[in-house]
Amino acid sequence: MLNKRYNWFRTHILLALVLVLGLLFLCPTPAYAMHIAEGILPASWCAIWYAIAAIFVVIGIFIIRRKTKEIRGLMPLLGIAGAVIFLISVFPVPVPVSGSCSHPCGTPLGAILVGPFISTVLGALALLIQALFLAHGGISTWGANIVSMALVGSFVGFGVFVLFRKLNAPIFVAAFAAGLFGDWATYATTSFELASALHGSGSLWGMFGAIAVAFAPTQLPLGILEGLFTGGVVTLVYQRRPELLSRIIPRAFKPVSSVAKGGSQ
Amino acid sequence: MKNSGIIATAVVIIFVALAIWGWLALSRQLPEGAEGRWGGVDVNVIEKYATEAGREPSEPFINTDQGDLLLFVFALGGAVGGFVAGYYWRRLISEKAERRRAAG
Repeated sequence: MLNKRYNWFRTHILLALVLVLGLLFLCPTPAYAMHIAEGILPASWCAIWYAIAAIFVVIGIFIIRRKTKEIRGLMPLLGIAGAVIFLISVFPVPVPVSGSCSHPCGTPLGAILVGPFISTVLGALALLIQALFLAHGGISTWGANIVSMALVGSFVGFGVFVLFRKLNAPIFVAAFAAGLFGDWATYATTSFELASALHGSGSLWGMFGAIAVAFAPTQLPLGILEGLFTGGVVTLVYQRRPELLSRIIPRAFKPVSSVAKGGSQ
Repeated sequence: MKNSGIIATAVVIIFVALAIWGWLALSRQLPEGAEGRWGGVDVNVIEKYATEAGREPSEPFINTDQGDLLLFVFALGGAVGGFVAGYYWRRLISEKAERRRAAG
């Protein structure tokens, strides 16, 4: 009886969630986000960010080619990670109290699912589609946006996740921290990119601080949201298909003492 | 270290508490941007500082921000992205888990 009720409740909650998310996706508004728009950065800075991004994207492409041959089932995981990064990074979230909108990044989650280099490539693709068709970001600023969202979001998220797992933190806490710090690092990088190109004769760090503080009322709570989302998805995947995750970062998915004792996951 | 997991969790909780405090404290002094309430940080922060530094944003390479065209491409992108994510999720997670349960 209890089981039947639980199943009914679960089915209806899932249906309601799908309907709400479906409505949100099907009735979208233009994205209000952090991507740097076309024309904001001078050409020299665009070239520098392009060069940095290119190194990581090229390595990522080589890793994708190698790993798709080695690991069966990687392609569907790439599909999920790519689609999630694309959707999340154009999903404007209104932030109460501050009364502004921005979006999470999705790349920390992508990095935990498929590794940081591959996540950088997926983020770059998502940013290219957004710049070309969604008037979101820009072609000249693509390199800068790759570095902040795809590269820094992926590597900081991945690094924090691995570090927290090494410290025996439960899966949810480690993934939450990855989402939280990955998101904040992305916006700190965007602030640095803007400040480095636009500070002129003023202080670089003064302008960096001013931009970071302006981002803070929106991004501090969004980082928490990204952490919750990342933690939830990684925990769900780990519970259903742990072998999928342990193939990408084997050591990070070994059961830790708190898990083995039935601690929170 | 024996309690490192608990310490790591505590550190995360402290950061979350600080973030909530920072959010509430800084929101009070947030000036209203060009887009007004619920405006995006791209306009209210990025474009504000860029314009002050003499860098105006230019038109996108392909300008879909015309009339309802942007709504269409966003709806299309959301629908396609949602379908791809859902399709692979089912293939990779739901079906495999069901098969594993059926196999005993």
